[in-house]
Parts: sequence; C-alpha cells; structure tokens
Amino acid sequence: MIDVIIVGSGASAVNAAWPLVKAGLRVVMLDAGIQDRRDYAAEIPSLPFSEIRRTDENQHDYFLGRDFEGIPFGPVRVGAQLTPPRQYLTHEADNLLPVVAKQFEALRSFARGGFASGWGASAPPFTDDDMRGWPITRDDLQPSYANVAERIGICGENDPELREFLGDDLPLLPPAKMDSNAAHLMSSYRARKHALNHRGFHAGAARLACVTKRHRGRGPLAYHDMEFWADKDEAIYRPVYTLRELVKHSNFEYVPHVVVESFADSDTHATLSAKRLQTGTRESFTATKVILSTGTICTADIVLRSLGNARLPIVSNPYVYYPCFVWSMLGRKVRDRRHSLTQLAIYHRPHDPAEPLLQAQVYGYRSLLTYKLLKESPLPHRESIKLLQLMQNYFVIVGLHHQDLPTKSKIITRDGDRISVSYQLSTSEKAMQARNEAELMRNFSSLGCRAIKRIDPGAGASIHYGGTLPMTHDNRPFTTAPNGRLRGTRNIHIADGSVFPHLPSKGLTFTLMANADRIGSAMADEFKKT
Amino acid sequence: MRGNASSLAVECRQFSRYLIGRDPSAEIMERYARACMKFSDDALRGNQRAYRFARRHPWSLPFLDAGCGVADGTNVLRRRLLIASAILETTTDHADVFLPRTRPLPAAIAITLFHGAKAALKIIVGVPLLLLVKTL
Repeated sequence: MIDVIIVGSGASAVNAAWPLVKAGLRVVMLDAGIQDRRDYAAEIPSLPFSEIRRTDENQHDYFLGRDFEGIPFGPVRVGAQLTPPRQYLTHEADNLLPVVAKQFEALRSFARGGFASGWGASAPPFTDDDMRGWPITRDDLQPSYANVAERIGICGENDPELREFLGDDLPLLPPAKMDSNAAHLMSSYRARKHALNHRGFHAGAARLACVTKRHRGRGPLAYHDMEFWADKDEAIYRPVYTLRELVKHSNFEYVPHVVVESFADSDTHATLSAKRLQTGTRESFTATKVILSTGTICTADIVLRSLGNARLPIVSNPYVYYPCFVWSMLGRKVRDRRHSLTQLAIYHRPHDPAEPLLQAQVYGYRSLLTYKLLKESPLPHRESIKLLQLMQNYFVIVGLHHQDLPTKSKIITRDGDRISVSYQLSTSEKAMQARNEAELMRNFSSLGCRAIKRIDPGAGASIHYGGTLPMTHDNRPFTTAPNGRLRGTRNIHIADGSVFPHLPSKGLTFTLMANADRIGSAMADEFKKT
Repeated sequence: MRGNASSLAVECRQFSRYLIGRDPSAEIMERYARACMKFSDDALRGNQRAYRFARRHPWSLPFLDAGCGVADGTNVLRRRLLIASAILETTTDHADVFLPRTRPLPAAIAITLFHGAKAALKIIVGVPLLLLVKTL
C-alpha cells in the first residue's frame, strides 16, 4: 500500500512531501497539474528588461499576450502580478471548482506548482506575536523554517534590530541588492531612524525566496527585472523545482491530471475518490495517510464533500497598495540592473499597542510597463506618457497586507455544486485598517516618498486565504489538531493555509511551507514508530 | 463597436500621431486592428459619441481624451487609446518613448511644469467639449 498520498503540488504540498520521501516512505502526489500550454516563457530572452524592450521584436507576444489578455480594462482587480505568462495559473479553475462569491475574489489554482509559480517570493517568518492564539509557537516552526530556508534558498539579513518582527536567525543567503529608490529610502530611514522607530516604523532588507548565489543548481539572481514574466535563471523559488528533485526518488510518484473530489477514512487507511481530467473517469486511491494540500478553497471543498456541508470560517489578508513617488530622488540617476521583487520590508507597530503589527513591502514598478499606469492617470495620454517617462524611475509601490481574523461575516460553504464565499469586513475592522495605513503612510512621507493614490483591489485580492479548518487544541468538528490531522478522521491531514487560525499582516507562503514541512516531518516520525 | 481592418488601421495612425508624434508601421496597424477585433463587445461597449467625434474631427482628439480623463475615465475613446498605447509601447521602434529617462533636476521640473500646464489647458477645453459632444 502507498504510505502517504499528497493532494496538490503547490508550496505546501511539495514541502510536506520532502521529509516523507527523505524518510524512505512511499509517497504519491495527485495533482491536476495544469501547465502553460502557450509556453510564453520559451519566447522570453534571458536579457535585462531594458535590453529586451529595445531589441526583442516579439516582446508584444508575452508582454500583451497573444490574445491581448495583458491589456487591462475596468477597475484594478486581483493579481496584477499575474502577467500573460502567469495567467495559466488560474486556467480551468471555474470549470473544476465553480465559486459564487459576493464582493470576494476567490482565486483557485489547479496549476502544477500552484500559485507559488507566480509568487512574489516575499518570505518573512511568523513570530509568536503573529501566531497569538495558535496551538503552535515559533519554536515549533523554527526547525522547519531552517529546513525550508536551506531547501528553497532565502536571501536577506538576520538583522538584530528586526528580530522583534522576524524572530530567531535562519540560514540565509546574502541579501539581494536594492534598487536605487529603495537604497535611497533606506538611507533616509537611517538618518531619521531614532524618530521613526519611536513612532513604531522599522525598515530593513526584504527576505526573499530568491537565490543570490548558486544554490542547489539554481540562480544566481541575474537582476534582469523580468521576475514577473519569466524565471530564466531559476533564482526565484517555485515549487516545481522541489517537485523536480522529488521525482528523482524511486519512492516518489507524481500523478498529474487527477482532481481529488472526496475522501473516505477508516481505522487503518484513507481512500480518495478522484477524477481523471483527460478521460473523465473516476478512480480510487488508497493510502495509509493522506495529506490534503490543494489550497484553502479547494481543500474546503474536498472536506465539505466528504464530511458533509457546514459553514466554515475563512480569512484573507485585506490588501491595498499605494503607488508612491519618491520625489527626493527626482533628477538622480537610477541603476538599470535590478530585480522586480520586494525591495524593502517595513514593520509598523501602530500607536495603539492593542492593534496588530502592520507589514508593508516596497516594490519597484518599471517592468509592469507604462500602459497600466496610463490607465490610472486622469491626464491626457500624450502628457501622461511624457510625464511618466520622466517620473517612472521614481515610482515605488507600497503594498500592505492587513491582519485578518475570523468573524461570523466571513464564511465559506458548499452551495449545490459550487463553493460559496461571503466575506464582509466590519466597520471597526475597516476603521482600524484606515487608521494604521494613515500612520504608516505619514512615516513614508517623512522619507521623501509621497503616496499618489490608494488602490484597493477588493476582498480576496491578496490571494492569501486561510482559517477554514483551524489548528486548535479544542476537539471540535472541522478543526485540525496541531499535527494537521483533521478532527473526525484518523488518517486525513491538512497542510495548507486552511489550518492557520488567522492571518497576520505578513506574506504567508514561507510559513505555509514551514508548517507543511513540520506536518510532514511529524508524520514521518510517526511512521518510524509504528 | 468593431470596425473593419482598414478603418482601424487609419484609426491607429491617428492615435499614434497623437500619442507619440510618429506614424506606426504597417505591422503595428495590423496588430491594433487585430486587438480591437479581438476584444469582446463588452470591453469596447459604451457611449461611442466622443470616440466617433474624435475620429471625424482629429483636432478634437487631445481635448476629448483630456475631458474623458477627468470626467469619464472608462470611455470607449480612452480604452482605444489604451490599446494603442500598449501596442506602441511593446515595440522596439517606440520603446524609447516609454522607457524611463533621467533628466537633471531643473530640466525635470521644467518638463513637468510644461506638460502639466498643457494637460490643464486641454482639460479646460476638453471637459465642456465632451459634454457638448455627448449631447449632440
């Protein structure tokens, strides 16, 4: 019999699989495994952005998309980073798992590697403060953070001044070089550090899942500023790289084109009911243990189909961003070679100590092209082009993920053959967010960085979902034990965002991977004992 | 409203001259026509009056674009100009018009003031013109 079936191939799934495969267990990974049939990536030259723009006659193909799917109409919506080469990540989702969601963007990915195939690579670990109320602590996660950091390659600094926000040291690669705007903001921050720290504002190099020197056959980062379009140097971590390593093991099997619909659990094993995508035929897979890791929304669907319908909580970091102009840089030369990922990480402790930490990320803009800014400009196009040409070098995007706690107004359930999500922030949540944002942006202003506009892409836009099957010590239905076991079952474990009781104001992907590694490692130990 | 390829090519030339002061290549005109025909009617649906007026009276294009920018940002005219801008930007011929450029601070301030003033004038003329065109 198969020892463990893992469902999904995203960031959590491959990192849950790793310790199990290394322990010699027979592991099978079932996955829809949708791939990019258009293969834009093959067309993109391994050259810096500015050189591509000046020399590649085919650039329109991947920048705009062959069906011009990269030209946005309507209001700013979710996933601006899902450029045409990344749009396959959501293909087939509406067919495979229809969702009805009012005022909530419920993105699902059935792609090989999941959403982390287009991930922005920000990798801040959670601290005990971030995990307040969880049944696990940073100490429980620390070995897995270290394992994952080594496995995927994380660059950054173990800055003692940021330990309060990042926790204990981890094995890190050298930090990525900041672009000119970020370096300037950092130097302004250092000059006013005492006053800013007093106001709760702290800044430092971003921790990124990106290899700045050769690591496990990948990288190093080439500073081509093409990270939203291609992964030519494989510097940014993608789950498919771990999958590529996993399939080299004889005790691991990857089975694509399979969508798991439900499970049945017994005392000794679990059976999965699945559908083959190519033939539509139904098939069963049996294993001693199952780990569901298909992403919060898909996992909720499988659990509700299997255990009966219920109203589950759901959380999603409210996400907003501010295009900002670093006016104090105007007229200064900027470096052409740069990367498109987070340049700076900001940690803001609000004035009211009862309110949660707010983390912000500072990005450059250039590689997302001017026409998307033209759409947002109220000026005539001709003048906008002239002004943007002058000012674009000094644009940064400040992105904020607010903490999200479960409430009765944030619910996911099954409605017929569909998943239904209703999500509403309370007035007090909105007021707290507005207050904290205003405090944070005031501090940015003092660095010579002025916000031009506030853009709220709407609920769910962070593509950070969790909280549906929270880890807890309480023995309640539709919750999970700290080892990821789904209550009411013996052999079904969950290792994706579903188990996070709430989402702090931080990117969650690194912690998803560390928690999956922790669950996989604990399961491997359990197998050894029995 | 979808147009045929030749009238879309003419439209592309008009828009390109306005946006960057240059004529587009035949390849760009073909790409623009293909893009306009590819977009669903939904994307290019809406009040067509400003767009049609600007096509018939090319002198009005900068003003109607400016008027729509502040009063009707999702107008069909703005959408078509966005398509033209995106297509022009992603060509080697015109990349230099869109790629960021560093200027010394005094020049940067002067350019900003100059284009800011031009934009303001166009808006002053454009908003009433847009209202007039919409009532025609």
